[in-house]
Amino acid sequence: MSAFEEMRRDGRVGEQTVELFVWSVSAAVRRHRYPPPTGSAAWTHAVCLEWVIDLFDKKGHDVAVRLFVHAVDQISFAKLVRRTVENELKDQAKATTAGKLRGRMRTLLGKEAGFVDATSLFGGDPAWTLEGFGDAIYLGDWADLLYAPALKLIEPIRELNTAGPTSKENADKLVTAARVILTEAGGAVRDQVLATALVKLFELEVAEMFLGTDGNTMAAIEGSARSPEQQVEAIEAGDRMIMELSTDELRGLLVLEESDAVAAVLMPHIPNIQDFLEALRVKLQNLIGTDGVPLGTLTHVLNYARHLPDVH
Amino acid sequence: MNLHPFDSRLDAALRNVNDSLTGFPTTTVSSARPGQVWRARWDDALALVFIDAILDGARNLVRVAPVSIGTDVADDTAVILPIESSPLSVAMSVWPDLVTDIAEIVLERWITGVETFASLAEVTAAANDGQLRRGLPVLNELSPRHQERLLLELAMEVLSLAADLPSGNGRLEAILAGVSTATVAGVLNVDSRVALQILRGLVFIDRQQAHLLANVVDRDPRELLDANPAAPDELLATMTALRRGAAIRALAAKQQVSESQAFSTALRGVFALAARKEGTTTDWVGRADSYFEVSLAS
Repeated sequence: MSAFEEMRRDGRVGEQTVELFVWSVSAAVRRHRYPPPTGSAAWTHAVCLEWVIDLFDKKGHDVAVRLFVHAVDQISFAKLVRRTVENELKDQAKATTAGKLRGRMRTLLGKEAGFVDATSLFGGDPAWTLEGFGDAIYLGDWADLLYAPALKLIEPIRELNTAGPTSKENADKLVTAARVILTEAGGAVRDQVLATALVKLFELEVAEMFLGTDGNTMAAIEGSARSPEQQVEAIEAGDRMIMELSTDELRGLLVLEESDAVAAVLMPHIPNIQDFLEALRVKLQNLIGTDGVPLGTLTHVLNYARHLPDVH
Repeated sequence: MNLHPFDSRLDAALRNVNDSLTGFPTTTVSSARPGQVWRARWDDALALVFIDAILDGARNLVRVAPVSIGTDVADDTAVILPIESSPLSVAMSVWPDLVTDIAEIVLERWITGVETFASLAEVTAAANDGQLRRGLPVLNELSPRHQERLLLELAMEVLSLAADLPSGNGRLEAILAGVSTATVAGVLNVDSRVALQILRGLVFIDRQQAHLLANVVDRDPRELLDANPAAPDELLATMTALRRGAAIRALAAKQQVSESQAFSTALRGVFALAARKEGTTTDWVGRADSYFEVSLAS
């Protein structure tokens, strides 16, 4: 019996649902390489189960609402569980990300005009303020600071290049946002709070590479991902794959993960989208073969597909 | 349960989920009203929607905006309804910019009512005067907030196309003149009886069929859709009514086809039945009822 059938039969979640949650945790931490919880050496089944129990303890009502409103069959049920698990893992990662950002911001703000180290105002806790604010301390909710209108004027930070330094542009945006937040606060803010606010504002917990190391330069992160030889190999393999695919098949790669209904909207000129995508999956499997393709090949193909002109 | 060595903790945690789950209303609501939140589902698109208005007209359209559970995914165009705004006791984000007209047949399940606001205008006004908050701006090109908006845009587009009755000017027979029954049957993968009905302009073709036939007659698919038979308002009204949704979903499940396919087949069936009417009036509701009764029983 599936987890969804179990819930439909009993009107409540049970063993199958717990197993589905545990499996989803295990898959997500493998895929995104989340570190195990403090005190655990690895994500064993027991550790994953503990994590699920904690989730149900803390957010049982929220989990129940999502199951109640969104689960209509086993597929939607499984997707929902996966999304719930990944969102919670990201939430937990925010604390780590903010911790890493603190160090980065200390380096950046220390060089910027107008920012003042306010550690002394918090009895030794690292903090920041702006010139002119004197000894004022912000005592409100940090989340309120994110509604400062000037934050809307900041351009989105950019996806990282596969090579080359890109840090300055993104770093400038972080500094600008920090200045707006402190201006809105009108007083000193702990650097942990400032970092947490920036992580929330820029949704940095998703840009894992951005803060994946203690990184003062993103070039170091990007450059170490793959050697030039490996990149050339991936581009050549990608080009061979592109030659084997029609323009529509290349566009189809971009919607392979979508539902059939959504894919039909995105590719209205394909009469039977379900059959088309199924054939494409088979072709893709054949092209990849049993030996697989070099790391980065599919990224190259997808980048090519993204830049094809739209169909009118 | 036999999962692990600490059953009591798991049991307690599960109770935490299940106490909420079993406490949600199981009420069936038979009509859509402004201020309600419904689950809309058609084919494999699914979205929660806030009902803004019930529109006049034969197609039973309702004006809706998508809703997300929680606040983290809300960008600065979405308005956040706080926990206390509905009996669901969870914050929801409404996306007024993505307002769309959809046929009420896609409203599958009533979820909850929003107690303080009965329209998008009220929600937006409350956000503009600071009574309600909006989400945060998108400042990251990989933003989940942006991804949520894109997903909702697509879901709303799918839902807006659902049960889009292919009613038109009745010129299908003229446009398809010269095309053989065998060709139509072959291209559309339908039997010759249905192909003949299409050639005579007695039944509707849907979007997919219009695309396929457009290649045969070298016309724009939209032109073929526009040439469908003119559907009587009574037929439009009965086929897109809220109560038909359950029957269409049951037919789709039974025949293992999408809701769109089940709807298209049912529409064709009910319309073709009416072509054999006697007298001057047609009991469209009765014919549709009979059609679904027979189809689901057989």
